[in-house]
Amino acid sequence: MTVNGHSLAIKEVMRDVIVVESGMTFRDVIKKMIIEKTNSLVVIDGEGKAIGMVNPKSLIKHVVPDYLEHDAIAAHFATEDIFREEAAKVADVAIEDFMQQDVATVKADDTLMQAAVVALESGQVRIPVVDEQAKPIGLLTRTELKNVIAAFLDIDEAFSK
Amino acid sequence: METDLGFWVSIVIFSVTFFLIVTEKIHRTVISFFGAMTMLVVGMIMGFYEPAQAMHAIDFNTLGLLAGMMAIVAVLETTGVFQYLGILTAKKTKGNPWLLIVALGALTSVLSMILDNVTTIILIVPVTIIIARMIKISPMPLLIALAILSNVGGTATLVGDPPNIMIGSAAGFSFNAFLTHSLPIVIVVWFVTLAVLRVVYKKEIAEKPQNIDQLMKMNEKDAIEDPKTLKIIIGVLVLVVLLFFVHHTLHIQPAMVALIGAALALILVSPTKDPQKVLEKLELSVLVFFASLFVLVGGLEYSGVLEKFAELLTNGAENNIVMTAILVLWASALLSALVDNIPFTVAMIPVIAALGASGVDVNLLWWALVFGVGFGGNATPIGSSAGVIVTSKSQQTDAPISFIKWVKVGGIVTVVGLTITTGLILLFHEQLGGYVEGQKDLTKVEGKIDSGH
Repeated sequence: MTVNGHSLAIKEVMRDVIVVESGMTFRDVIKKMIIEKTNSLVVIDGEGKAIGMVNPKSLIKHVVPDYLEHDAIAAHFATEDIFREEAAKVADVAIEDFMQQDVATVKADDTLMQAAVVALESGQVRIPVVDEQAKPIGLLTRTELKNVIAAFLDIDEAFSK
Repeated sequence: METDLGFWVSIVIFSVTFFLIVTEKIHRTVISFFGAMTMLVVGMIMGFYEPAQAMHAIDFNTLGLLAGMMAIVAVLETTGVFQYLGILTAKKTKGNPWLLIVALGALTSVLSMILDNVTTIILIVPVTIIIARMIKISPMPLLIALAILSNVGGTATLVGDPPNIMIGSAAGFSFNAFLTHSLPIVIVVWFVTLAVLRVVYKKEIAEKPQNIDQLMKMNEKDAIEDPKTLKIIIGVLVLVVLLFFVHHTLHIQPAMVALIGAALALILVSPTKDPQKVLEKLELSVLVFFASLFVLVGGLEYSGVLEKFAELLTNGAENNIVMTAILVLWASALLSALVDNIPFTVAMIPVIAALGASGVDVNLLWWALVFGVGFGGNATPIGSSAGVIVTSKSQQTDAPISFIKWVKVGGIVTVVGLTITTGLILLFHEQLGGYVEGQKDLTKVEGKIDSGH
């Protein structure tokens, strides 16, 4: 389907995916995210298959100790020193130990509505697009889905950078 | 009484379920629920158990008391009062490691006497770890001490510990009966426990705390998120405690007191909101687990097993009730150290009740059971919920608690505590075993678990 000269299918609207291989450390991963200016990395195994995803939430969750995770009141009293120490503690942890597993994905020939429903159901704001071998080939985010809706409403600025 | 096939089948169903619960291969609620339904279905087919009897076997006083207190605590825990009290108490000690153990230990013990000690521990532990890190002392002795002392404290009252709720309900012990029988012994054991901690943690206590100024700068008032709700819920809690003191004079069951408190908390704090969020904190999994255990043990009761078992015990017990009490104390402590103490308590209750129904004066045995399951859980980190929680929360600190590290102190504390209790039972068995005001006549209960509807 084409709207305003844009072909509306997952493989047309998806953005490039940035992948990292398993085995990287916490420090390498956060550095890569900053250099690449991205908030999401898809983790692949030796065969190139998607096995997980990393986003800022996975980083934060790993730095915050378990005993504070559900206690915002106690966390109010935790000093910056504690935050710094906790960050230092996890610097060398392997990506497998903090990446988000069981990531919801879509295939390139799935419908956009299906991608929208997957985004809602999984609560994931970034959905990796994979091929038949589960290898990542792109990424759908809220931005792409928002642009698709805008295109349906004939808003000219849709998909403009 | 003839021992037919149903007699043996009910023993097999109970034993297999009990084994699967304590080995923890299957979740305890799932397997006990399945076991209860198996007992009922097989009981119906074989003719020893009916649904109406299963309903009768469920102690709704225990379930109502647990549910009511869970609802009150669910409102209380959002107010930040636990963290407030934790920080306030820590500041009073000026960071002295030994005084921290004494003061925070006393705080959690007192809170555990009225409130669920799992919630108390969950809410006190995070601020405790933060404070320990801030003043650069090891959090481990503090965490172990909090769990152990709160378990001891919870043993003092009717509502301090789920086994006490069940035993009190079955024996007809009032809130005050616990204060006059259990509390004095708990106070002695509490101080002895503290002394043991002092000796075992001699080195850690000598650590010099740093950054005391940072600790003193913590403003505990920041923890109070919602002062209005806090005032209301404290008012409700005060009323509930007052009603506990007089429940047997008013002829109302403890469950009713807790449920009155829960109803008041809901209508006063959030009258217009759907209470779903609060009610989600009522741990349905725990309540179903307890109800299932009652149904399961009810099967044993109606198939005649418990009566037979009590018959076997009666002679020995009658001849020497004090020795039997001491046996109950140590055996229940040993089992509570190794496995979940709830299924054991539920199974022991009708046995003691049946002994009572056959004319044995069993009050001393009830108290022995209270102390055994209450103190026994301290021996290992898996013996009590509080122990499981602090052990798991300590894993991400610099001093994670291991099984060995726990047993080194918990084992000593438990053996010393039980020895003292044994001595006190020998000295005061007449006072402890005496008739308790408000208690029903046990010879008329026919070995039923229920506490007189």
